[in-house]
Amino acid sequence: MQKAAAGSEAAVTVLYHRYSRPLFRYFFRMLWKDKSKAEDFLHDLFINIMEAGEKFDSGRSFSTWIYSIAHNMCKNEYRKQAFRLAVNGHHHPEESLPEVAMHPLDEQMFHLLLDKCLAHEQEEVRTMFVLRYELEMNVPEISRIIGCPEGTVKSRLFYLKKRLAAQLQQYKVMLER
Amino acid sequence: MEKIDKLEKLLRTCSYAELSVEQRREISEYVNSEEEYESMRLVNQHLESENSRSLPLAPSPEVLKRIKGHVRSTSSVGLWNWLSLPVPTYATAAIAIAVGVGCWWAGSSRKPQPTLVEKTERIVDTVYLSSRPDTIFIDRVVYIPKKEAAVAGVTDIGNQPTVPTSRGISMKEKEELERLLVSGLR
Repeated sequence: MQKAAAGSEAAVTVLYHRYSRPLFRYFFRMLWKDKSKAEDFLHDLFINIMEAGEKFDSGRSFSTWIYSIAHNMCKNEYRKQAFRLAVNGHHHPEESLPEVAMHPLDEQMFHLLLDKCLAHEQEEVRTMFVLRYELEMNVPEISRIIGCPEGTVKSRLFYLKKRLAAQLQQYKVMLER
Repeated sequence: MEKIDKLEKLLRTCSYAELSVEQRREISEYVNSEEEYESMRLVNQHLESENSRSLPLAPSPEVLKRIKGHVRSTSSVGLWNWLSLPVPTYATAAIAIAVGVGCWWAGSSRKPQPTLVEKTERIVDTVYLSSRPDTIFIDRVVYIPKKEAAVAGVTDIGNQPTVPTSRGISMKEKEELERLLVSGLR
């Protein structure tokens, strides 16, 4: 990290190959599945960590630090988006359930349900979900990234699952009719 | 939190039918019905396989190129960045002391070169002339005018022949003349 901050191109490349994929997935999931936006955020994140390299505490986990920055970038983007929404009334289109797709619950259907449910969740819960289930991080690491107690992470993830289950039940009821 | 951990474990391992009465009583705090439990179990299974099932998402190679371009542009500027770095006062003082000590040490280790001072000394001594001077200069010529007028007046009175009076050189003048002859000085 220190070499990358000092301007070593090789060090930057190593860091990029190690972290770009999971970070890109994180941004992709958090930023309304917008690929170009996710790429822009990934680029900006690497520029940020190189410029703020001296702020990195070597006693901390680098992974936690980099995801904390990514989390803050997403929070800022949500704030900007909320402002745009207030001014223009424009918002990102939510992925909606196809009305005609009344087939048994498959992977695709589950993900549509999941996306619909996540779209209504708070930004913090969405972050927890992506970190836990997409990037397979453990609860202590997530709590360090977001900056909240482990118990909060566990209970929020549990209640998210509960809400998803409720959506699933509704869908099943629709199928049975 | 222990209850949630226990419930998560049960969701992963047991169906509702497999739960004991005691376990059903424990989970009833969080789960209202068998349907809800089974739905949560299904969600759990899907989520557990979320990462392995996810589409292989990767950023385009352009992103890395852009980052490298940025690194190159900043590192070329950064070569001269040290000039604008703030230097603490103690560092400046330490450098000044080090330079002073270094100069003093370098000066003391070199032997001083002897300085040559030219001193002219005037010695006055007696000079003896080895040969007599061949040229004699006479500095003073004494002309003594004749007292003719006086002589004419005297002839009338005494009818005595007038003896022209001539004055000779005094002893002092003679001495001076002789000294001149010996030294040869003008």
